[in-house]
Amino acid sequence: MPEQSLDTMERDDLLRLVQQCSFMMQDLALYLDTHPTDKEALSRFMMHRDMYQQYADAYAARFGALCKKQVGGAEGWAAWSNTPFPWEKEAN
Amino acid sequence: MFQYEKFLQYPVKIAQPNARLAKMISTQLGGPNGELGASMRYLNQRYAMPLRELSATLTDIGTEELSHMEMIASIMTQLTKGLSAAQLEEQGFADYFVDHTTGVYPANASGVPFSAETFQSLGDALADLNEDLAAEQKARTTYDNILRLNDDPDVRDIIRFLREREIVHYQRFGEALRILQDHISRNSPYPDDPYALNPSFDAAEMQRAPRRRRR
Repeated sequence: MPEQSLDTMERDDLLRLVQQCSFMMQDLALYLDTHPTDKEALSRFMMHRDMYQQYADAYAARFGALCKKQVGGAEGWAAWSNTPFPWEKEAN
Repeated sequence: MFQYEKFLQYPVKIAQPNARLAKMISTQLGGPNGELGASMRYLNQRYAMPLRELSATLTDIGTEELSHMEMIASIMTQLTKGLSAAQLEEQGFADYFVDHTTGVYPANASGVPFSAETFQSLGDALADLNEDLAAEQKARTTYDNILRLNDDPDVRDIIRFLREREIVHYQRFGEALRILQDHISRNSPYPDDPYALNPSFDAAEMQRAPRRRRR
């Protein structure tokens, strides 16, 4: 867990946490596909999935939805459609 | 089905535009060893896998390749952004510019459009997984060649990440091939000839084989 609160963290730092957890899930998923009985890998996958959910929801609440499931705040649909796209430099 | 997540797998933030470099890197979008072909290869091959864990490997790697495709396109977009037509021409981009301006188009480094002939889907899990192992090595070599040809630190960092993923995928495909070979040696009615049956097309015949005890 980061020391700083998710409510005050800079956008870039929070996005980085989302990306790191998402990447860990991806890498562990590939490993688990060929090692499905590895309990330690599975528990690490679930740990990062829970962290991912927490970071992604904190990000969406402040900076816009990362997936359509997260749309629903005061910004309306624009929280999904009118935030920077990933290929824009300022999105990264 | 697929759903979009609005962030890159690994950040792309390039300070210095460089159209010459964009053209080189474009081959990893639409070239013979690029991410589009990789994704199409795995996502189309997965239906013929005789074991579900092999379908899972192809689904998850094929999906990751879509994320890599997006990263390569993001690199191309940022490397060509803000340059004038004269600057683009000076940086060897005129032939791309005349056909596509600075739009992202899947082609190889010399401009030949993407072709599905760069990959196979043979409906034979043994042949397909062997192709996949080779494909990851070819993509790794291409990234090594890109690393030899540029010294932009922002771009090199991203290319090193992508190169590393090719190595991880190669490892996973090696494990998938071993799982398939174990399946054939346990379940084929022709234990002396592992190639007697197509493990995908002849899957029913493999399942009918008398189950032998594991040694």
